[in-house]
Order: sequence, then structure tokens, then C-alpha cells
Amino acid sequence: MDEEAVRTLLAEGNIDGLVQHCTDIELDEKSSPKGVAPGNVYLVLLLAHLIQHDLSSARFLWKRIPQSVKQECPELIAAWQIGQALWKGISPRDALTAYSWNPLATALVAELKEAIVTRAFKKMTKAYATVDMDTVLRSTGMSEAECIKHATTVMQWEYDAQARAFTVKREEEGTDSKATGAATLLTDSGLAALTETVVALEA
Amino acid sequence: MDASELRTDLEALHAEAEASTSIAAVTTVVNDYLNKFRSASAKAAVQDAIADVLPHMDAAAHPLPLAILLLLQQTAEDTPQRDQWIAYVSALFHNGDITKIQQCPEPFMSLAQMLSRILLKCNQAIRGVLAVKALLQRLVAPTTYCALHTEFAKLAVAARLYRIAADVVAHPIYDIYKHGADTERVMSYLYYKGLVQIGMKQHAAALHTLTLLSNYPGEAVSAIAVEGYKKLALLSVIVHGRAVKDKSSNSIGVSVLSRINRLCSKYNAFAEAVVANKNVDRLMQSYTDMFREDNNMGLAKQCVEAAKRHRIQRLTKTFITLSLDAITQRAALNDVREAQAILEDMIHSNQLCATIDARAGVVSFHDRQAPNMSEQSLQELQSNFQKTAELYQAARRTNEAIETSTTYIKQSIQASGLSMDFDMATDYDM
Repeated sequence: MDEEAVRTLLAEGNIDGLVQHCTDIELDEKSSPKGVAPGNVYLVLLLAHLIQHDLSSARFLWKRIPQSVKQECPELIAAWQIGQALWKGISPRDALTAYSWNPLATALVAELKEAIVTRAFKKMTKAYATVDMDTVLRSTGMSEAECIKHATTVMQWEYDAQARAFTVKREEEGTDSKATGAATLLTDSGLAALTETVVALEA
Repeated sequence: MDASELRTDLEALHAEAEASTSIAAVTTVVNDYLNKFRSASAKAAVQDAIADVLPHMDAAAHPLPLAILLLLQQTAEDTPQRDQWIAYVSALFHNGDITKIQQCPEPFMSLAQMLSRILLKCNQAIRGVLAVKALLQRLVAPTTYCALHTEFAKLAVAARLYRIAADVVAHPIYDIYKHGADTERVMSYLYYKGLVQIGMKQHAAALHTLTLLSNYPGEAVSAIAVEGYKKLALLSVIVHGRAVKDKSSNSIGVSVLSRINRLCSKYNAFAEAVVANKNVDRLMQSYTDMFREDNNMGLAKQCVEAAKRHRIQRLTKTFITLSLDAITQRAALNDVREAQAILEDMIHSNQLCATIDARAGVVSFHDRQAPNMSEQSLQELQSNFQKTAELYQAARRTNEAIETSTTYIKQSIQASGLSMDFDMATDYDM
């Protein structure tokens, strides 16, 4: 596998491209004789699915990786432990830190950590008015100190040390004039298309 | 037979096929040729000749002779010849001249079935997915069903390449490409399409697909429809929180229901138990072997989890605020932590409009606001308009085809008792 291509796609934040790149290798008979790809291709693909939080695809990938490849590549098993934690809704912290990854996987796992944290905070911001520390720890996979730092600085939540809970700062729901303009335009053309369809059906 | 004889034969066959004016004529030419090799001695003689000729065949320019050779060639499992055979088929499906393939598609349909059968047998389905997809996409429009759809979906499900399959099965079907298509294949496709949608957690879409499968016209209930219905019974609880027997939540024909119900009574009993939240654990235990055997264990577990969400959903219609403890108790959940996790997920996926105050242990339910029309939802609306128009065009084409069909007109006239002779009708025009 072309590690440089993986690094470039990762640097661009093009995870869809990364999934496509690895899938192409997996399905190409030349690089994957008899449909069996090298272990590092599966590893990158698995971590890419997890970054996208596409747990179904990650689970199906895990099921289709031949047993022999899993045995030869312990990093795959370690990566799937992260997937299992996310699937079961338990903290991925242990799985994320338990293994000493190779340099390429390290970059992907760092991206995965960031994706887990971003998604978890987004989800909690939408759902909670106040949230307890244990829930935040479980969702983000961070340490307590990291949690407090990220929540109070990046998210601007308030922390009550005595109650071990955060007061969530809600996202302001403003109207974006640009988006509204585009929406009006689309509504007009959408209605025109609907009219045409109805006229055609009535004719 | 030696290689030069075979090559001469193929050249003659190719010329004859190209000179033929209709697909039926080409098919007859090809079938006649294939029938020459039915005897054991002819088969043995032709194998060596095929091995000599194959490397010199041009897949792009002469797809038909190559398809015939590949149909005739016999290779043993796990040999370099078998790998070579798969490579030839793949190259043919990717690069074969599509206008020539369209002239006589039957051998290619048979080849796809052969490829699928061979790969499934040796547990290497993944090797055929892209090849069959390539031919499928070159041969027909995305909204036209063809027999290759079934082979593609079957291979993709076996290879667990659900994401790739989801892109293909997402297209609604408005037309059927008749070559190689029959009822069993169309029904199998609907079944595999349902499996792909279940795998991708597109439960509402899967429910719709399997409803189509269960309603598929037929004089008797088929095994495919029964398997589809078992999944449908569980999906109905996941999507609507109701059992299929509840008329308001399904569009399954009454006659279909009464015939299938007898064969799937345990699934119906389980679905009803989950909805009523009575005896679920006991039934789950006694039906475990059946669910495992039917490959429905995962869906049955999802069914139990989804019922919890539907119970929470119902609470929002009565209460403005409710404590986490009360939600846990009323929705029959294991503990507060589970309630919190489900609520968090439901709010995130827009199934529920609420705010959790974890410190106070209270949940406030809000009125569901009309969603702002996002650019994405408008584009979806646009695409749905487009699909409606396409469906209308397809229906009009079918209607025209029926109205102008000689058989239909003859039968209509006979049914109305007029018994009009067609030649006489022409005479009247004169």
C-alpha cells in the first residue's frame, strides 16, 4: 500500500477518499490475490470507517477479514477493540491507549481520537442542559483533566467541581441569510418541478 | 478438436451472430453451437483447444466468442487455471464491447451466474463483486432491473460489501430487462436488497423492500417470500413499534398475510410480545435456535432495543417533564444509565426533541418544531420529483406497450365476445 497516498488523504481530511483508496486495493486482484488484502490495508480501512463513525461498515469489514490475516496483524485486533467500545457505547479510552501503534496507524488513531471527541461533544451539546462527568468520560474517551480543559475552554461549558457536572453551553440557532437564499432558490425550482410532474401526470 | 478448428468455428459463429437481425436469431445460433459440445467426448476434446485459444482472444472486440469459451471451460478449484478463468471473466465484463453484448446478452447472464456459483462455493465472493457490477452498470440504466442485479447483490452480501451494494440497490426499479430475468431472480433480488438495507441500518427502506417481496404475485407462497416476511415481522416493530398484524402499520395484502402467517406464527408471536413487552425474555430464549438458524438473531435483538425507544417516544405525548427514574420505570428499562444513553442517541438522531438535565435527573420534552428546510432536504425533494417523473414515464411506456400488444388486443376482443378476425379488421380499413 502506498503510505504516502494515505498520509496525503489524511492530511487533506479526505476520509471518504481514504476509504475508497483502501477499498480499491482490497478489490483489486493484483494487490489482493484471491480477494485477500495485506493486513495494513485492512487496518487503515478499519480505522477510516471508525473515524467516519460508520460502525456497520467497520463491523462488516471485521467479519470479512480472513482469520489468518487477523492472526498475523495484532494491530487489527487492537483497532477492532476501539470499534467494539464504540459499538457498545463504553469508553474507548483503554482501547485507544492500550497499543503502541506503527507510525501510520498512530496518525490515524490521533485523527480517530479527535473525531470521537468532536462527535461526543456535539452529541452532548444537543442533548444536555447539564451533564455529569462520568457520561463525558464515557463518551469522549478522555482523561478527567483533559475533559475539564476541553469542555471549559473549547466548548465554554461551566464546570461545577463539587457536583462533578458541567452546564452545557447550547449552540445558538441563528438563521444564515446565505443558506436561506439558497433554500428559497431551491424551493422555487422544486415547486416548478413538482408542477411539471403534476401537469404531466394529469395530462 | 484442436485450437485452429475451434478458432475457425468461433470466427464463423461470430460472423453469423453479427449478421443476425434479432436477438432471438443470435441466441439460436449460439445455443445450436453450445449444443454441439454436450457429449462427453466432445467436451474432453474441446477443453485443450479452449486453453490454447483463450490467451489469443480479444475481450474488447469479440466478447461473444470469449463468453462462449468461458462457459465451456472447466477449471478445478484452487488452481492457476481457475484464477485465470476469473481474470478472463472480469476483463470481459469490464471491457467487452457493450453493443455486441447487448446483441446477445444471454451467454453473459449465464457467465455471471456461473461466476457467482463458483465464487460462493469456494467462499471468495469478493472476487466477483466489481466485475458483475461493471457489466450491470454498462448494460442497463440504474432504474432497470436485470438478472445481473441478483448475482451482484448475492455476491456483495456474501462478501459483506454492504456499502458498495447499498449504492446500487438504492435506485428504485421502474423497468425490467427481460433477458435472463424470471420471477425467482426478481424475488431473490428483493430479498438481498432487503438484507443490504438491514445491514446499512436503513430499516424503513428495508421494510418497504420486503413488503414488495411479500406482496409479489404468485399462486402459492414461495420460500423466498417466507424468509423475507420473517425479517419484515421484526422490522415492523423496529420501524413502527407495531406488529405486522396491526393493519394500520403495513401495506401487506390480506390474502398474503393469511397465507404467510401460518408459516411464520412464531415471528408474529415474538413481535407481538415485544410490542406488549410481555414474556419477551422467555420467548427470546425459546426462539434463540430458530433465530440463529434463520440468521435473524441480530434483528431480533434490535427489535427488543427499538421497542424501548418506541416506549420512550410514547411518553413524550403525555409528559412535558419526567425524571430519569420515571422514564426508566415506565419504559421498562434496565437502569437510569441505559435511559440516559438511549435518550442521548434519540435526541442526536432527531427521533426525539428533548433536553436532559443530568444533575437534576430530569428530562424536558419539547414540541417538535417544523424542521428548517435544509439544502440537503430540498435536494432530496428535488430528486424525489425526478424519480416520480421517471416512474410516470416508465408506467406510460408499459401502458403503451400493452395497448399496442397484438396478444392483448386479440384477448380483449375475444373476452368482449366480438371474435373479430384481424385480417378482416384490415379489410374494413381498405
